Amino acid sequence: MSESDPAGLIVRAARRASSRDEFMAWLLVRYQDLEQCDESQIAENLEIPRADVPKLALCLRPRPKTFVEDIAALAAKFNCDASKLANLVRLAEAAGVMQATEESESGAGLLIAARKRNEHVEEDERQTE
Amino acid sequence: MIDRAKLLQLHRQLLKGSRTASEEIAAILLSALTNELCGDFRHLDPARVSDGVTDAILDYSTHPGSFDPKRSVPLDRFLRHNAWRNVANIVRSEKRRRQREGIAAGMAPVVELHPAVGNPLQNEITKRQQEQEREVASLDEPLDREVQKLRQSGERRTEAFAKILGISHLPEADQRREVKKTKDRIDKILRRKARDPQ
Repeated sequence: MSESDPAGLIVRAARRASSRDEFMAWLLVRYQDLEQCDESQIAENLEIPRADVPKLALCLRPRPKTFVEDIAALAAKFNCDASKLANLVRLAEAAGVMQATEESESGAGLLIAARKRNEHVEEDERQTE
Repeated sequence: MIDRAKLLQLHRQLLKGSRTASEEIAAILLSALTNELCGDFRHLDPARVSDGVTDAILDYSTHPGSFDPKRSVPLDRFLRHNAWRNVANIVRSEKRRRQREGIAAGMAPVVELHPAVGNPLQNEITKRQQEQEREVASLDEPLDREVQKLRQSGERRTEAFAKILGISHLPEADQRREVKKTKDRIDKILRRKARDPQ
């Protein structure tokens, strides 16, 4: 990538934004994971040029309280169907919640396992004494 | 030429909750600031410079109140300043990483160049290497062994571990979390094996 390649810079910036849950990029990655699809399929689904996907990714995600207005603003900006965009966002949000739940459950599982192991060790130590 | 009036307008839109202004600000400033900062950081990969600029824009977009137009510093200069600081931090962390790698790489030739028996330093290094080899061998999972070898080499970059774990496609935050989980798990296994060798 050259420093004077604006499109390349936008693509890289969009990837970087995907680690921040305030951005559409974060939702688009969750959607891709959920639907096992890539950017071109997202573009196809929303009926927008593929080059617009990283631009959409750099937008802030819709807020719950103003969801309809925010979706309308995003859809107007990228000239896409608001209901398709809303559907994508809702699915991605659900995927994000599921992922977070899975992570917290596996974390809890590890904690329980660690606790049980510690209990066994303590029990062994008591028996040795 | 940066249109400062347009930027100020986008700043006001962001303050009002615009969802799309962040993209427009990135479109205006990302390339311009990256080009500018590449002049200040000539020896750094332009992609890393753009990361610093991106972070400045993303940080500002989520906290537009951090910019105060009354201070008579234009938005592009404000973001350039923040981006410069971000890139300087990247340079510092890369330098520290290289130093660590240099130290780790510097240990091996000592063993090869001075294999004198009885040399205390030599013995200590050999002992440490044997301990490290034992640690690796005690891990059952091949992936864990690869991760542990990489840690022993002084590597600390998440991306290097993510590559081994096959999670490079995940967002950075997820990669960091997964890598940390793996390292913590390996540490637990090693502690347990040290306590109970059987």
